[in-house]
Amino acid sequence: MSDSTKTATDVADDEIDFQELYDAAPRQKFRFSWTGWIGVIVVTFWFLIAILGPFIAPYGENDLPYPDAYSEFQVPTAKALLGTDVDDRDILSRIIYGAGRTIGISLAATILAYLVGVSLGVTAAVSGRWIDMGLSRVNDAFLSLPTIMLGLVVIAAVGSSLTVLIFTAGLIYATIVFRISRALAMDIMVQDYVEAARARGEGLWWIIRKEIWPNAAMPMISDFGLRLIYVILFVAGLSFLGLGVQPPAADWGNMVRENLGALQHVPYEACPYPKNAAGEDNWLCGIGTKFAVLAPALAISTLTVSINLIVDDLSSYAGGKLTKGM
Amino acid sequence: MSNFKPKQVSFDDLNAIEKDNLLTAIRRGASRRDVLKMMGALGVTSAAAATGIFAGAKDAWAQTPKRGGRLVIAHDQHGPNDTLDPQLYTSTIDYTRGRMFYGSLVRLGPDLVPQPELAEAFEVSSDGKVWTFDLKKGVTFHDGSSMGPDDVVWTMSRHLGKESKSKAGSLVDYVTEWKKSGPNQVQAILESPNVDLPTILGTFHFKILKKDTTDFSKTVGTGPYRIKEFKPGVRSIGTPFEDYWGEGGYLDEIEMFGIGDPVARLNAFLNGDIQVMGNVTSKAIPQVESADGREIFSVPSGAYINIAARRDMAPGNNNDLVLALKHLMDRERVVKGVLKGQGGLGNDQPIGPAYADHCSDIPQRALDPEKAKFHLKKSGHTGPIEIVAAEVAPGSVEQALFLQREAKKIGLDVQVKKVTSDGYWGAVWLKAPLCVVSWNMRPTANVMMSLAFKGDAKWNETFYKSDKFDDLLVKSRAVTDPGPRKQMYCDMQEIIHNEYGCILPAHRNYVDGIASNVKGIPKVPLNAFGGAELPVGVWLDS
Amino acid sequence: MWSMILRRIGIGIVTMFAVSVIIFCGTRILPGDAAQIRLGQEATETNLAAFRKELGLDRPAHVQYFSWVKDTLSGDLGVSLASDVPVTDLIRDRYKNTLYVSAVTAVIGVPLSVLLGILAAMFPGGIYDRVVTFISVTLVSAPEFFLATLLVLIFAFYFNFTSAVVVGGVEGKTFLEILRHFFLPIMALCMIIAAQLIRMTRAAVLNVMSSPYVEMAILKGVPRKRIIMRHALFNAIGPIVNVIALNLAYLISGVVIIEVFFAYSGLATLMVQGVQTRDYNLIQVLGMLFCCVYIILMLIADIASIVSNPRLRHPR
Repeated sequence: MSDSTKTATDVADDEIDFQELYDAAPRQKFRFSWTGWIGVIVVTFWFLIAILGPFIAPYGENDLPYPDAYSEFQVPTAKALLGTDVDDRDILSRIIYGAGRTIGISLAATILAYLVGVSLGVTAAVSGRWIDMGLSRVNDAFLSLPTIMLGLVVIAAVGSSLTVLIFTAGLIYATIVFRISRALAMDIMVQDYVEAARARGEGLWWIIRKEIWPNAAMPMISDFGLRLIYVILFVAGLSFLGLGVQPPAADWGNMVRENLGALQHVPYEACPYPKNAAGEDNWLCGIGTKFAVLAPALAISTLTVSINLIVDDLSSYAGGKLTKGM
Repeated sequence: MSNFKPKQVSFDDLNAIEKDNLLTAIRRGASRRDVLKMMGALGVTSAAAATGIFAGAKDAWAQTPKRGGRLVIAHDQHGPNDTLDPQLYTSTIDYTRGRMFYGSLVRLGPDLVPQPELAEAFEVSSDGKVWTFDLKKGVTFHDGSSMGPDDVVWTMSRHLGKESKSKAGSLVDYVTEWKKSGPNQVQAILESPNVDLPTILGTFHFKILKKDTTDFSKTVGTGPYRIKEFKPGVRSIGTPFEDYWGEGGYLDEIEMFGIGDPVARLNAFLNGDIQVMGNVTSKAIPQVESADGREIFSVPSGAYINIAARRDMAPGNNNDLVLALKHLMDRERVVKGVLKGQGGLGNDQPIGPAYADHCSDIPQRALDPEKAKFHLKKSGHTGPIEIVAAEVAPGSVEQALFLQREAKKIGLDVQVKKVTSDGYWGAVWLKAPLCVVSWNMRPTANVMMSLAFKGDAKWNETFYKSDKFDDLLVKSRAVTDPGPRKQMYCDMQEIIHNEYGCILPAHRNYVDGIASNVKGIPKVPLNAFGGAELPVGVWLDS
Repeated sequence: MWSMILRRIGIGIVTMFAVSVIIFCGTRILPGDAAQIRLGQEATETNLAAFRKELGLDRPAHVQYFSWVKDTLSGDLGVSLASDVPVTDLIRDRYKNTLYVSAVTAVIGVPLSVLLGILAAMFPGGIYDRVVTFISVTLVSAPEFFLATLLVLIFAFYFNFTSAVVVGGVEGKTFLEILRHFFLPIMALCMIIAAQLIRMTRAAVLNVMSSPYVEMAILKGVPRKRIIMRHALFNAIGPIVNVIALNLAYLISGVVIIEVFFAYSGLATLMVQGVQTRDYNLIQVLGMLFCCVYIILMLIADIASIVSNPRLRHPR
């Protein structure tokens, strides 16, 4: 976060790294700030949940904690730790199952976007003028169309499934990754050290591997984090139009969507314990019924804010190359 | 949960003529006793019911329509394909707009009995093949020209023929031609007798246009409101037509549009931006009920959700397995839990209590694991069964999930494959061995059964053919005598109940929200907004 | 400089042709066509064929493409396949809403966000910076419909100050009515674009601040405020204008969810409805319109960065 006021640190460290980095510019060692560490902890937490999901969830994602009751939006109790949702299901279990799906989709889509976007972007940057021209124009064409519309057309054409969602989101965001990686690669290609390597007669692959990649890695990783967030929101937006993850499967964006009614609607019966032991009103009755929508919204927020905290550290280290790329 | 109680006859249930007679009598000072006598003549015998009707009639008298005011109403779907061409109507908003701007030959009341509208009288020839309609005189279109038989013949002929674009063509495909048979009379010539024709002509697509209308961006009709603004997918505005021939058109202005998102629609309704809201989701009903000045307007109808099992392929070709599934359906839970009481129990046949030809003699099937176990054993079926489900109507997915849960208890593995509703009708329906379906109510039992249960019907979704059923169906079209007619319809419903692959847990109500001062909407069960009949008689109380 | 601008315009035209091909092919891969959707369950072989002929869908694809290009270039945008209404009518009914909402959002949201971003960049790491960054990150991460619902709860129900949806359009309303109806969508959009703009502005300014000539100025003892106003800001114009242009393009074409949630008819919803009804003509016209908007905005952004950047202004 404090990139602009940075002072030269750890000169000794630099000299050790310098050996391996050949003729690259001297670099500063990467360190997380305390906010960065919070980000790392939260993101790790969610990834663990995503992986362990089915083993730790108290119920299945469509099971009912109160199988004989009709009422929805129950406040938290020992039986359902976060209460129940619009269809009487256990919110906690759905959050846990949803973690896997939400993170899985966005991670897979983002990786796909990077594989496609970076390889084409770097190809465009290092190849001749005509290939660059062709790739860039097609890419511009896709970029100029609104993302949600592209998604709509693809899903209307082939139907919605996890694979389709991943490929749609991946290819749509590949256009932006292409733009960024091409710009970054172009930028690096004209740097003095690359020109020196060229003059030395190094091959193209060598230049990509030894010169472009080390310099582009950091901005790329920080953009990767941002892209992850956009994919989550993109899929949530598709869910709003009924085209995202199909219910009853749990996905965070979907959960916010289907429980949106909880924000306004609180039937009195939804609170099994309106009074606590002391005879006072149970404060959970007000907010407890809204967990159905707040919990998934909070899950999205904590994940994305944490990724952002990490990204902030990374991009200040990368010296804001990300912004140039946009 | 009024649907579980025996039906209480109230003032609203009477047809227009009965209401009119009653109101006239009360105006003349009739006592409760007089009303009781009149009711006896109408077949209402219980004193309590008659008292209720008397009270209702007095209320109605106190509430004669007031003029003036502006009404904003919103339903769900609208888009650039909104149209003023009645034969292309697809949505409730189209139907309601049609009611606002146009008139039709007959009008359907809450009992779905056709009442005269632009046709003063109508009768069928003795062989049942010629229907004659005497047109009302002095009816004018919005441009001042008067409506005549040429207009009617032109309009009706648009629905005939193989190249017709009409969405309702199949409802009148037995009509060979329409012709002018007098200065104020038209005739429909039928290939085969059908006593339901006037009822069908009271539905949405048969609105009367001016002859040779080609530009549907500015049409004229005979309806109570004239077009002030029509922008497809944006809004329609109607202002009163000063020369309207009948009663109605009480408001200064009606504005109508669509709010696709259910949460946004509810927000708009509760916040007072709109006064009438179509399609209140069952989850939101308690909230509307608890809001000041906001009411639920619920109309029990014959619309239903079901699971269709194809009887021509495995596993549905085994009737014992289908019967096992029918006994595994938790109907109570669908009606109470999913529809929140806004519906009635289904009995594995489509003709629910809202139809005039409903047969109440067939015993109600209920969740019965023992019987299910018996039939499952008898069927000898093993292995999993897959039901394809999509969110096509409230409860459509839940019914499959409930079935899955109950089946698990007796050791039958039912898998529910959830797919998106976009493209569902083309890709899944009529193809998958078992899938969920949602149906709207049709004007008559015969139309409903001809559409989806006749052996050679295009939409015979369970692919079952019963010669006895098909024979009864065609024959019953010519029968008006109540005794034999009831017997025939009961037989048909029983065949569907026992033999077809139709697992039907619930009929659903049309549930709208209205502001408390919105009055005069008839409870016609064919669609939302009182069968889209709202515009004619709606008025605002101060 | 002029040759550079001319080159960009040329690129824009090439891109538009690429888009026209993509849109044309994209719409044809959709299952079903307008004739099928319109006839729905009433479709039979005969009336389907007749209807296709009437709509011109029976011609070979390349003939359809070239006749479309020819008609468009001669100014004829065609008739909507879903409703027989001229496409221009459909657009005319809606463009005012879209234009009004995006213009007001841009006038309020853009300067405010840029200002907040610059302020955050002035004191990086300070409490103000942290608060602004945190708020903008939280806003970025909230799904649009969640944000919109919260706004409705607060302003429509709790304060009872606005309507929950937009009823009707801009026309025929007094200023107060417009305020009442359009306050929420505009506010929601301001928050959505602010989230991104603040972050990018801050990053762009900080980026310039770390360049050698600014460090030189700092070493010379020039006050921080003056460095930002005199040097950093001017040099950060390029990337900032770029992000602004992207956001404006989003305001015209990408606000489907806000339009649906506040129930006003705008161009983005029209596009969605076009896809749902397989209205090729409508999709094509709107797709080209959105593409034009994007290209023009990016062109303006490019020109702005050329003008503001001496190295680009006087290329070697």
